[in-house]
Amino acid sequence: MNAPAIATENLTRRFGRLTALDGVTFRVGRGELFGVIGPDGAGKTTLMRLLATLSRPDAGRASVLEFDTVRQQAEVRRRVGYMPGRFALYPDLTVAENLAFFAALYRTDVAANYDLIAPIYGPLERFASRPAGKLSGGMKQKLALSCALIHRPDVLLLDEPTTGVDPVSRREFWTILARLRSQGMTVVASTPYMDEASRCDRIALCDAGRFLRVDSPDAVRRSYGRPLFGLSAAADRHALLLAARRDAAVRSCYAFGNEHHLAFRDRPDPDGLRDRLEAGGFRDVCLRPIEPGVEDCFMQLTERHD
Amino acid sequence: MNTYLAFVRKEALHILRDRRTLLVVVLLPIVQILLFGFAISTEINDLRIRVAATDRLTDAGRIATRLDASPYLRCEALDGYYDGKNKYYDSFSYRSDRKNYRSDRIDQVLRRGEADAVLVVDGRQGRMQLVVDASNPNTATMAASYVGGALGGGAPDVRMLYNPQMLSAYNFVPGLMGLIFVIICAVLTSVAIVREKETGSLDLLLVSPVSPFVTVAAKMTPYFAVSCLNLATILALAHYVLGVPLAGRAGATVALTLLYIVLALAVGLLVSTLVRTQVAAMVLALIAMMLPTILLSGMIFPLENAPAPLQWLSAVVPARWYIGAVRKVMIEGLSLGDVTVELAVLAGMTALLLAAALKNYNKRTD
Repeated sequence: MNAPAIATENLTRRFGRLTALDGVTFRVGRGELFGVIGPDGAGKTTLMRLLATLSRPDAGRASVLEFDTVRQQAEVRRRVGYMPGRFALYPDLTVAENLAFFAALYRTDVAANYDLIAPIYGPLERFASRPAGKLSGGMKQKLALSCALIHRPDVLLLDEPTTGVDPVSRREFWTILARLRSQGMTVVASTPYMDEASRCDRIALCDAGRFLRVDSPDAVRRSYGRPLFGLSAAADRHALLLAARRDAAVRSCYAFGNEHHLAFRDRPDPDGLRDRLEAGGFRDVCLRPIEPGVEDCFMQLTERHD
Repeated sequence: MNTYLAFVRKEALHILRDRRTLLVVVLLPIVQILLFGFAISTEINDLRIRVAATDRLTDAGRIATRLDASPYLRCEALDGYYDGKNKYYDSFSYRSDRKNYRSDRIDQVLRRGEADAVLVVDGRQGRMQLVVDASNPNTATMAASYVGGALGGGAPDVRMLYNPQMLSAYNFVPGLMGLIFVIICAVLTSVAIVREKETGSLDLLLVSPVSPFVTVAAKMTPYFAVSCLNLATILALAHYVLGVPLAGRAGATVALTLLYIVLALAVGLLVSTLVRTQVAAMVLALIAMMLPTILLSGMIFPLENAPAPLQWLSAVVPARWYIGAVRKVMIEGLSLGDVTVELAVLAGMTALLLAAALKNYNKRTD
């Protein structure tokens, strides 16, 4: 791998007594689509702001395209496109005016970079004269991305671009990011949605200001390292969860969409557990082997962390 | 330069699209000037004076005519009648049994607000007494001096320089200018910048390669332009509607005001770097600038009468220096060379505020 697009070393940021980012070290290769995945309060936004030169680290250092984010912030700013988590364009300006303004900020114009943003901006063209504040959520995100891309950045930093966006638009958004990656752009996107991990080349699972694991989504899933079962029953799901957790053979049990994800402490014994639960009054108990997902790994990692 | 223009255009669009702000910006100076010019007048016209004589022999009518000649006084008999040609003043003989009736009657007239003062004339002893309703000390003082002046009671011949008619417009136009530019520049600029903080767009400006200098200059430009427009409006209204002379020093007045506008913009910028919300910006700008401008600039309350600590405090209120200088230039017709102290103080304050604001602005937003 040639020089990394992003490299951090022991990056730390504190707000008063709260350590928002606690000694994070990682690298992102050029042309990589890198996901920073973790719940609210994990330090995702803080990390993005540090990389975007909006904030200074209290300890450690970060570089973007080998430019230091503190000492060479002008160089970094020229090469980075940043999209904050909150819609930050001007709601009273029209779609076209917003785009033209951000092009002017970077001393370029819309026409010169239209090829890059065409797939994203295209559907918005019809609304060019509509105030940006009157767009739908997905449209706003597309406009914000267009504005972040208008100066052809080498590195794109996206802070929770899919939060508050409908599932169809989310999927569409990740397809757009994959396309940008295939054009050679380095993309770093943060998200609280674990199911979006598979869209990334590599992901960082983070919690409470620390990176728990940095790897490809598959490698993260493989690292789960023990058989996982899906547990469901006819009865009250919450009661089932509590009952399963009380069982001595169960290592962990977490509520997921339709079924609980359950791992055993030692050798898996699904039949024994099923009997015990049915003896406890649950009907139609079903335990089936399933593939661990990124969220299972995250749960496992935060467990160890506690 | 291109970036700067795009920026200015964007700021102008913000102002033009926000109808309410636009209305405030354009109408505020006009309304204030007209309001102060016509409705809220501190001059006292039409003081109602009643004249009462103690006996029939006293020529109260002649005294009343003299008072009536003054444009500020309106004269009537205390208990008289008017036959269409002459006013007749009741002149009860000064008998002891009527004495109480008389003073009761005077009280009654003043209490009911039928008159502001009653002049009692005693021709036989050659004495006069003016009974004034002093519940409003301002009116009372004016009434006393008007009546004294009209009767020519040995007072020195007074000549009022610069403002011979004692028009309050001469006083409040400079004061209002000091106030209006603070409101428009300091309050609106700070709110405009803090709005970008609130919505997060300031972050986008900060991560762009645009220097904060350009950002700040571009933010200020439209408000500076609006202020220039306001200055023209105010001067035109003051001169043509209120009759303020400008004393042939319009150029000096404009130069002074432009400096003051930049100062107010710098205050707005500084305020915007100190707070996070638009409401806080508004409150801080109002408290930090508007109240001192109203209370401590000499605009309404003469500073000369203030306690010494307040007088010292007023030295840091820019409006005090500005209003003082504008009075000298606009009303007294002095040149800029005669207000160098004020100019130096204002320029110094501007430089200091701008430096502090830019230093603060340069810090990152977190």
